[in-house]
Amino acid sequence: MVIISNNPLMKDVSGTNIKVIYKKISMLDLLKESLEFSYEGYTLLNHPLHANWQMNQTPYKTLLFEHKKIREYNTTFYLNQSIEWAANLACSRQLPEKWPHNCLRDLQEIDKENVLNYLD
Amino acid sequence: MDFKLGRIKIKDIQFGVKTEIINSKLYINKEEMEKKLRENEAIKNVKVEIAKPGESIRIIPIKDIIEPRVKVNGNGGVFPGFESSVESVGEGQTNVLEGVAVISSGKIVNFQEGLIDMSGPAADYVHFSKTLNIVLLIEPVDYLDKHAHEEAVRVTGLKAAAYIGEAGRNIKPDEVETYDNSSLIEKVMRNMHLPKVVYIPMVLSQGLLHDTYIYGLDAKGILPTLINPAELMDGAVVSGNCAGPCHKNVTFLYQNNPIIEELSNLHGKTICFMGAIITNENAMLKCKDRSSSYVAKICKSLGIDGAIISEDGGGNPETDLMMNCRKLEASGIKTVLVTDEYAGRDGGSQGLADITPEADAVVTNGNGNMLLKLPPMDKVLGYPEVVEIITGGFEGSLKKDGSIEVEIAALTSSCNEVGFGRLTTKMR
Repeated sequence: MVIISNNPLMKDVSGTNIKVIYKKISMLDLLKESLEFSYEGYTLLNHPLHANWQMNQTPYKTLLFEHKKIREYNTTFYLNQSIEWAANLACSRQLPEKWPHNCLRDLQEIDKENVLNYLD
Repeated sequence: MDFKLGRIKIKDIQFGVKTEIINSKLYINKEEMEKKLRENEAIKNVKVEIAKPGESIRIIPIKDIIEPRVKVNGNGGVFPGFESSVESVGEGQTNVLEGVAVISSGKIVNFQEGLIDMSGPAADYVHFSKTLNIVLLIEPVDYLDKHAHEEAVRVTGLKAAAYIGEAGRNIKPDEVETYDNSSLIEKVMRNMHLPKVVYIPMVLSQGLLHDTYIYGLDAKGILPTLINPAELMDGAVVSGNCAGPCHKNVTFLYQNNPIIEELSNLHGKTICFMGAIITNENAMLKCKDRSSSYVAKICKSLGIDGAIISEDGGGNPETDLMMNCRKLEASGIKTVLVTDEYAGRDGGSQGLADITPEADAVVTNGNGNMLLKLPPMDKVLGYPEVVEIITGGFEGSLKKDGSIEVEIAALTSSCNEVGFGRLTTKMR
């Protein structure tokens, strides 16, 4: 499994056959780079909009991929759709430039917690 | 045994020396209630406050909203798996303190979700601005793990609703509604000439602060399952969803689902209401695929003609919604989807994160991006200072005078996706 994330808490995640790619970039850029990554034959496992958080509510996103001979679950469709949705929501409301540190920490923990459920 | 809902109409609430109902007034022993709620070792302190319609009060944040009820007879008790054993419910009589809502509040994380104003422009958008609210300000013990904190707040809300509900045990209800609990075969035999319709409530199940519980069981791990609508009305489903205030299903909405109410009214007249199939909204695409395939399988095996599917939350749950729609329509089953939208400030953007051509009958409960200006309130119950990072808030939301400019996405249940709302559509 390959984990692509801009959540600093995901850097420490490890396990059998798990590779973590951490990128200190915006969520929108993460989605775009994930789309490029998927063209190398990786299937997206979790929905890019996972958890109830909309794209303009949290800066963090963690995506799970698996290499498969045939890509499943319309990976390209869901990533493209999420990129478009993120761009639309950004027009409606931008993320704050300065969030309190404890708030960012909580958002990191929620993102990580909601992905760890699926890593067993 | 049929299910009966005994409605005790409450016209006022006050603190008093004993928790009881006298002449449609609910009196609450504040000290006794706070002491009972502090019995949970994870809780350091609980303050019980009252907020009534028309008062200049803002409640922020909102974790859950629960209607106080008491099981008078029949199997099980209120909130099975939490306040009662896991015995199946949905039979016998349950009394409801109608007009009252328990609202749990308190910081779990530093971003806050949901607000309710008891007066002013926001009150027009939210049902719970019109209820007599018992607000719990819950403070956990120090250094509590976030999972334990969320659980403590969740169960404290349920305990409070059960405690208040007990006041209605020996009160004669003002009205009693009866719901048919016949077997499926009996329902079909009596209504052979009518189309068979099922209701499919989707429930969020994606992790910490994004979960739902069925008889105390985390919905992440379930396969879709047939459930008697009376079980939902009887507290079998509890919300642990603390995100997306406008469109998350608080527990109150499982107890009072207008879709179930309407389908029950139409049963035997224009439709044969076959019941509900509860299904989850997991984050993994494989889980969405599995659950939607299983929903279609259950519907096909029941010979369903039509299904109403409602959402919980927004964003990726729209993929569950469209998967369910696509697979049911492919099986020859007509669908109606019930959702809400984030369609931009002008309502002109695509409002859903996923779509499918088969979704040609869709009911929207509002556009969460609509902007509102809310005046300052005389009293704030909770924590107003982080409104700028609430869903629907933004930099500059909180003004120096205490007024707020937010999207209606910030208002709890303003666009809820079971239709328990105050928004409608006018055709030009």
